[in-house]
Amino acid sequence: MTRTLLVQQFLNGLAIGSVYAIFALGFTLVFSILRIINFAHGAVFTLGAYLTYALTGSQFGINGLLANATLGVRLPFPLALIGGSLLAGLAGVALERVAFRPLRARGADPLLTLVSSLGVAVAMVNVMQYLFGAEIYSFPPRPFGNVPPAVNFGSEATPIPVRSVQVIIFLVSVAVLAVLTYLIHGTRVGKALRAVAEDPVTARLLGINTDRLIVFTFFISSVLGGLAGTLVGLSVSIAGPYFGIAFGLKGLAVIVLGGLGNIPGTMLGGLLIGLAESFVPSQHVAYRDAVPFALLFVVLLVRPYGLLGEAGSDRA
Amino acid sequence: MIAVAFLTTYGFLIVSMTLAALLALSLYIPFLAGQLSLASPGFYALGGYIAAVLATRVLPSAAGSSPVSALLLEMALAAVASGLLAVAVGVPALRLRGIYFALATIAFVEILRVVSLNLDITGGAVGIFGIPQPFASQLGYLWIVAPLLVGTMVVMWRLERTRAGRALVALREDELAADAMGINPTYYKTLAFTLGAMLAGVVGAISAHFLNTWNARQGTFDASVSLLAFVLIGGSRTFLGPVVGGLILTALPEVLRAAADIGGLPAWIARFLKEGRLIIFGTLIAVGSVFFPRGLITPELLGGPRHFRDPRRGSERPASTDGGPSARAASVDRPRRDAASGVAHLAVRRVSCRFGGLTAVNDVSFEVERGEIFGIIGPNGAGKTTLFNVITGLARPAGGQVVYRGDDLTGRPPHTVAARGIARTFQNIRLFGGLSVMDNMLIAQHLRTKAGVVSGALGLSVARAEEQGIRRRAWELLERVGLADRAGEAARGLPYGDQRRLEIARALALGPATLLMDEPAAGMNADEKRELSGLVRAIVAEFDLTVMLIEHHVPLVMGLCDRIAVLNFGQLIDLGEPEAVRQNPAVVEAYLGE
Repeated sequence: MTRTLLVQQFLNGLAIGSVYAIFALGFTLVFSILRIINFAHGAVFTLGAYLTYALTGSQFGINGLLANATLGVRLPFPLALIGGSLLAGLAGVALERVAFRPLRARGADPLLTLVSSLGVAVAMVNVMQYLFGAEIYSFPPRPFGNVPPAVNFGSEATPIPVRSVQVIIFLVSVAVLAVLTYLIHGTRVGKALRAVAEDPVTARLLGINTDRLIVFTFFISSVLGGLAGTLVGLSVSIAGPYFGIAFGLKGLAVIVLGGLGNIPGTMLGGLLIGLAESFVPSQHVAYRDAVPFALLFVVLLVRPYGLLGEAGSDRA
Repeated sequence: MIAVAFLTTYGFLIVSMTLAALLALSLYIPFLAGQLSLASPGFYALGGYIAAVLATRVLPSAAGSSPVSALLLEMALAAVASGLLAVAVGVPALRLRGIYFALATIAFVEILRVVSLNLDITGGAVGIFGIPQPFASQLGYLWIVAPLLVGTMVVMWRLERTRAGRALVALREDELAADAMGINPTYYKTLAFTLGAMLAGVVGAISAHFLNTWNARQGTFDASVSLLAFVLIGGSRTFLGPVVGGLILTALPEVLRAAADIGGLPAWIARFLKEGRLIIFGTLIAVGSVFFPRGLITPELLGGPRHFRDPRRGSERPASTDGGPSARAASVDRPRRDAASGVAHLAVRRVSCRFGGLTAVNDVSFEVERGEIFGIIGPNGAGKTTLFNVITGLARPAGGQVVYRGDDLTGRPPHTVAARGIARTFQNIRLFGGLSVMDNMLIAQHLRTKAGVVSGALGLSVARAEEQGIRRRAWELLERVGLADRAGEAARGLPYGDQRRLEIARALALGPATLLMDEPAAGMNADEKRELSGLVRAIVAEFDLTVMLIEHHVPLVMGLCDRIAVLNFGQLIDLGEPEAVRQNPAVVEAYLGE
């Protein structure tokens, strides 16, 4: 592998890894306070991408109920990205209302909540298919105006070009991770979140409104999911309504690798899996999708609770 | 005539439903042992590829058709291959707990999918086409799948009522307590995982023929979650749940499609029923889990669960209530060599146990003589329970030795310790709460029975005779502690004192030579304590027991025990007869004096 390729792979790995991390943090946040994996998170990811696409004023395909429709507005891409992610966050709030709260109110088995979130995921994915059709969507070219298509990380003599999209994805992800870290460690809400994650009963006794906090967590989690969906869609394309399911699986690998409910672990897991994938030799590239899971399997055999996880963090 | 037309039209659906029910059972079997395995689709895919490759490349066949015998051979091979892979994957993966195990099985399915997508022998992304048909019509597959489903259900029905099935349920209820009852968790979890995998592999082999083509889209994560929905929506407390769940949820989308074809519906409704049927499907799963949290089929629904039936109605209860000689006979065949050879009955030698920086037990040594009642007292946190945990294999000592009748037990797992004749009760009561009192007693006799999955599932006379034997003994022991009237009740519904006594009866059911009791009188009133004292003294004589007893209530310990060890901050500060211990100033200061 040449040095150029090495640097390129590394930077690409960081970019995709950071998207994995922000997507998987959505899982982690919900898990840390509810001890439940939200299986609809992958569907929210897809929804976020479609919403951003719609907000850019692009036209829908011909197969869905919304054939050839466009939204009245035509936002510049960065605004559409923010808008789409916030709307995905609202969808997450609705999701909590429909699939999680009724079961929580009845004190149901956490496994059952997993199934109900799964049911909602199936419904969401198929509603999207019904509305948007199954075709592949691509974001309009040059979403950032006059930014050149590639950034040179080498010298003039030996250029190491990396797609600007990858660089932007990386920067956005890092910014989001920084904001999130501040949110969790520097604000009152974050403190409450950590308290509930530590011990929900005591937190409630201390006057923390857990229901409101859970809604807030679903909002943040789904904003992250929707944002990740748009970023991946931007990097490749929106590959149909089932787009988020495969990505959701990788997200699961990330959170388990890092240790369930562990926020730094999730960030580490995301980056590791992104890097591991990007360094798969090109002749074996067909096996790339198996890499996160092989890595996960091996790590679990050595560390049964993930890289940064601890025993007892699996009260699922 | 209408029936024939129906069967022909819906042949594909009927066979699909049956296959789905079987796959749901393949997930249910490990679930019975408390293991959420989503690996079934992986084994299903493997079985399918085995059948597809054999049928298209290896086994000779006339163009487009294949004999049923070839299919049966492929099913057998698929079962064997799936079973072997399941053991290879299960042994390491089953060390993982709860959701970690579930996610590891998802990883397994994904790895298998990507591999099959890339190998030549599996036809890569295209898959394998033109798998020959053993039957003239799709409905013909019922000849294979219907007996398979019925047979599997019969096996499951029997299994849930015999030794192996009870061991699985015990693991689901409380793995630690099951281990202390002599049930080897690794063995039974691997067994359940493997049986489920074999069933999934067989179903895959049939499906490959049935679908005529096989590719990497068979057996994916989507399938894992559908199967989970089958089990949980159907009901996970009896094997009928997954069967019903598989049948109904597979039929549902087709029913919606058929409904769309009914004339007279507005066009948009018809279109929605057709194209949006998965939306309805998903919504029903979400709604179903809210409104049927225990699934459609519950034990109560099936005419009252056997656990909660009045035991006196059954004929199984023996007429005589005099305690029963066979219960006592349990201890007679025990070797008495320790008395003769002079080897200590139970020797704790320089045992230490640490948790992180805390030394819970520090260099403790003593010997317990056969037939004595040996008390352990000490303030909270003195290391009493940890010492019990070290002896029974629940905690690994940092140093030292536990020697039982000349056998080194140090570091042995709890089920091995139980097999050597040491039973215990728990400070915070660890009954199998969701099961009946009787089931608790039957599970505890795991070590006294031998029936495996095969003899139990086939209902062989050996297994049946054994079953009668342990039931009789369970009744006798329940009579002994005064709980026979409550045999049919759920253990967690018993009053506190009864739960304590059931735990003692359950420990006795193991037929132990040594009984470790961790605060048996905790939470009892004075009368109950006196009664308990009498019970302990009586069973020591009756069952030829050696007893170690942790207790806080000083008068009880002083009156009951032959000797007493005093622990303080993990160290043995005194050991001797009650009166001597009572007068030791160090003991008084540490514990007694206030």
